[in-house]
Amino acid sequence: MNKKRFLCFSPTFVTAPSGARSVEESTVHCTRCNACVQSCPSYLSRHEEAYSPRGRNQIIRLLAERKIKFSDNETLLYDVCRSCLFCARCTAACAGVLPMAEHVLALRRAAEWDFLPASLKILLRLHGTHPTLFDMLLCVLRLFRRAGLLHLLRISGLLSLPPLYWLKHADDILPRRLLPLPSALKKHKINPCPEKPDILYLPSFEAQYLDAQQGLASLQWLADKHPLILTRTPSGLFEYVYGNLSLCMSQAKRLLSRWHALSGKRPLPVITDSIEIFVFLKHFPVLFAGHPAWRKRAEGFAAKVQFITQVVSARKTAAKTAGETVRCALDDSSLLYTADEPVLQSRKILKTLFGKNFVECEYSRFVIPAGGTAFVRGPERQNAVLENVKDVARRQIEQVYCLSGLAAWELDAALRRHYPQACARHIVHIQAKPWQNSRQTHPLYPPTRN
Amino acid sequence: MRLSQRVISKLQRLAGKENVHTDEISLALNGYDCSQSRHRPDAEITLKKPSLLEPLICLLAEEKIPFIARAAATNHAGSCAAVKGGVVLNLNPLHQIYQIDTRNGFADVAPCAITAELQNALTPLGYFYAPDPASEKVSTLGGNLAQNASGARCLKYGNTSDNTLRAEFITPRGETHVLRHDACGPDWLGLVAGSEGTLGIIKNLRVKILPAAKHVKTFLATFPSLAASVQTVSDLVARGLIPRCVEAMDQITTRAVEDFSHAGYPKDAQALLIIELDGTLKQIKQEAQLLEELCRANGCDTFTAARTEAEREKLWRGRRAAYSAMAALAPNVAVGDGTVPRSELPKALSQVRQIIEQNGVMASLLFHAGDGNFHPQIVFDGRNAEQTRRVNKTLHEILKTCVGFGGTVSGEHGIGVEKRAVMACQYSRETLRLFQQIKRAFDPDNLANPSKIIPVHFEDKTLPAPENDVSVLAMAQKIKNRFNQKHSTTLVGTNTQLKSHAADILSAAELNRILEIDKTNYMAVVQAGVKTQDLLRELEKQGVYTFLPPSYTGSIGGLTACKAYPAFIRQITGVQAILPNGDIVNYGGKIMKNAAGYNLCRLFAGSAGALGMITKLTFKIYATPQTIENEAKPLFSFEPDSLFRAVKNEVDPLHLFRTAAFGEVNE
Repeated sequence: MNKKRFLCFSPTFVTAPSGARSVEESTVHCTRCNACVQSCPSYLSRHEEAYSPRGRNQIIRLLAERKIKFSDNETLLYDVCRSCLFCARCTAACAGVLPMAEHVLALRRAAEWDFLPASLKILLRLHGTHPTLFDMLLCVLRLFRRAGLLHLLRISGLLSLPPLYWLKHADDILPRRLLPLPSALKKHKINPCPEKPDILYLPSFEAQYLDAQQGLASLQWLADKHPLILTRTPSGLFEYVYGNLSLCMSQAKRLLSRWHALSGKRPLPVITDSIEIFVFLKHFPVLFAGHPAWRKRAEGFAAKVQFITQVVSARKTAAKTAGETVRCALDDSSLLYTADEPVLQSRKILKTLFGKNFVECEYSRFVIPAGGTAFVRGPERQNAVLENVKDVARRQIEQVYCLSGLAAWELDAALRRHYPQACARHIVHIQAKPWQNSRQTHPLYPPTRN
Repeated sequence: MRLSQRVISKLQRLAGKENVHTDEISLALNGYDCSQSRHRPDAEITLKKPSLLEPLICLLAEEKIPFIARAAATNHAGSCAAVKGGVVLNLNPLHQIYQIDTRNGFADVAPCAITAELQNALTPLGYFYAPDPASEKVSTLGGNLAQNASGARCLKYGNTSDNTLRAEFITPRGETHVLRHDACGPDWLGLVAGSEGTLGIIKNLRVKILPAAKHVKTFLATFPSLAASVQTVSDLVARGLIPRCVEAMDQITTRAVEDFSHAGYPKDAQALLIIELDGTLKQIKQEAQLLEELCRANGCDTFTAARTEAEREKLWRGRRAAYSAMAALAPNVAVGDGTVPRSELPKALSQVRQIIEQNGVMASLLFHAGDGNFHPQIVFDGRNAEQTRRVNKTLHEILKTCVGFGGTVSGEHGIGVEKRAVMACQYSRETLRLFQQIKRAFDPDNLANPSKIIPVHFEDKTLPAPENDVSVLAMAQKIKNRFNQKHSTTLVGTNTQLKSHAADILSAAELNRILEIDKTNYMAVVQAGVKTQDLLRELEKQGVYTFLPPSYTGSIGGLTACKAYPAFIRQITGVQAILPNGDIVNYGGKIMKNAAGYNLCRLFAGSAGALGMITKLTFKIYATPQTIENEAKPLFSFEPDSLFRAVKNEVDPLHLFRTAAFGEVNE
């Protein structure tokens, strides 16, 4: 057993009702009551202790106590880490509110396992570290697509060559009609950089690249009332989930510095359209638990973070969608933690708009979120999303509003394939006109041939 | 004990290679439950088909490998810990609900069907499943039966055993039996319920479902003292009002819970009761009036009713958050479940508080006021050896206190491995020996969940036998003499139709005293020779009732031994019997719940005197007349099955107690 891997647990702090605590300490607080188990989609598809949140906690605890070794069954450990969907349903069910998804993240980091193909990871990492280079690569992709080169490369098998592998991933995950948010803003002549901004808007990756409509709708929603400034500084969430902690912290520090510089004397509210980024930013103080100076700044920052639905009222949007007769539901999933306030706010908005047609989904068994780990493949993930589709069909829901863009993207692709009567969109789309036919494909759920 | 490669290969061939796990990590993950016990098994098998259970158990029996059935593993007693290694059978994939039959009021389920899943399936049909253990969202129905779990609603609707109609049961030898409460002979289903998998494995179940009440109303009453709150519950029962649930908290717990959950509980109240009534609107209105009247009569400070569903949910939120409130304070929570007669609850609770303070531990105290069951939840850090030792000592002292008040060490969680030691404080050597004989009869090789329930080397540890009635001692001596002389005995009741040799006959007719009619706990204690007609007359005189057919002319002991009236058998909470060797055994008492040891009430009821002579019975009485559905069955004769023969061979190896049940003496 590599000793370093154990030591990696300690400096990672996770949130707890009584404040931040180390991962080791947090797993010790698991009373093994098993209240979490029926909320875990991985467990429900396998019914084995190792794939339950309680089992994962015990694995980490036993590893930290050196009662088991990585080498005892590395395949099982890898599979256990891979099967966690970070949906945080276990945390919501836990009496001690243990952040079990974070425990698994800590184990993944300690084991130095990658769950993304290397080239895809490098590509997505570039978005945070070198956004200009990332944009240039996208231009290349667009050119290749327009010229039909990409199709040729794919059918000739050349895309499988390592130097071109990134193109395959980019082609898989990025939409056909690629319109990055900056270009979309130019096209719609929106200038989100006033001199005296009221709010700082932090768009998600999906709003920037996967679904520019989401970004535009968010901007329209916000810009109507508030002069805002848009920042593309990465939050560090991608590195937190898929990469290493030090890179994540340096990106978080960059964001904090940018916010501090823009705020001046008056702390600027930070708005985001991604529930994942929202909960991650809210937990910045825990991320900097070991750094008192940064922690103080992070606390001030976290207090100002808001989800997009918290800054608009339902009444305003009601006029545009009045007369709606479709049945809708809310996918309240978020990555790593549960987010109460935005969920309540979104529910209120949908109730106001849809009245009796808003279906309250008490997500119980399989019905789980797609949130945030859309790039990870695996049977659990696919099963979970398919169960979501079944639930939508069972309840005869026609529109599913998600708080996460990635969740909407993934669920919509699955719905398109298996239950085309319904579709899924990010919550900001209630602001937009009738949904446009801009459904994206997803690598896990390619469209049916007919 | 390490399993040989040969055995592992056999298991893999049977259950599938991918379902047999022997790596350290899988084994470590199957060696714990919600208690502090951790014992690593030698293999874990995930069972994906119920049909594999019998051949697997046969194979394990053939190879003499211990096995432990594992469901959700939410018990607080260490019942799933593999103390002697062996194979853990993970039954969790068997979670299907096969059938719901509302017309006949039952549901057929697999052993690991989740309690809440069944409730969710029944709700749209307008039905419900009565037992509601606190862990119902994750607990399995088979696990509930193995532990005889109950919950807040058990006061009105009974525990899991009462709500199970049939179970397919596999003995440790691999034989399958279908167990039912109403079958001839001893109530094996009642005996298996709460046996914690030590007698065999439950394969499939048929559970009782009931029409859901149309209306439910919840009330919160606060009292200036614990005694006043408990007295209110006694008064409620006395007036014939059995609420759906009665939950209670003392002041320290209320404060902790309120700080954590903000449920709106008044922090200055010494005790509070959450009472829930169900039924029709008219019925609830009447009962609510009576409830308020009784609460006020006992000096309640406040009495509020939840007006909306949201308010009701808020009231329950606090009670449900009690465990969370404690879990947030420290890494470990040790939960006890001692039970005392309801009237002893205030005294027992104040003594328990003293013990907690003396030992310097932090604990909350919740209790089901209706059935005298309380849950001290002690928080501690399991990594601190000294703290852990102190917590274990506190728990043991609390449980001993319960026994001192005529209670039991476990009301609903079971014994497992954690409370084995305190069993010696509750039961006499003779009773524990009988438990051991029952275990040996079912499982001669000690393979099914070994080293649970029965304390190790109890012969040296048990307390002296309790003082018994002179007439019972004389009867025991008589039986002992016959045993020494190897004379056979035929037990007869006052209603017997046997024509046997006069020398063989032994009757309990002289044990004919009504010992106590306790109108605080609503329990009656009578000797077995009391005639039912005399008993009914006495009960009526005292203004109480029970489930006894007025036309039955025999003795209460005979009625029980012949299981002539099953509705009465369900009311029995305590039994005293003399075994064929003259030993006196005692089980239960004036307690509503008892999950400690094998249920001897259910063993002796229907045994037709073949296993022992019933000398004393404790049973529930009611303030209102009960509906008597059927007439009593006459004395029966049944063909003893292999289970009966096995138990008989253990308890009475010389077959000295002869009985009409086998057709042996009935001419």
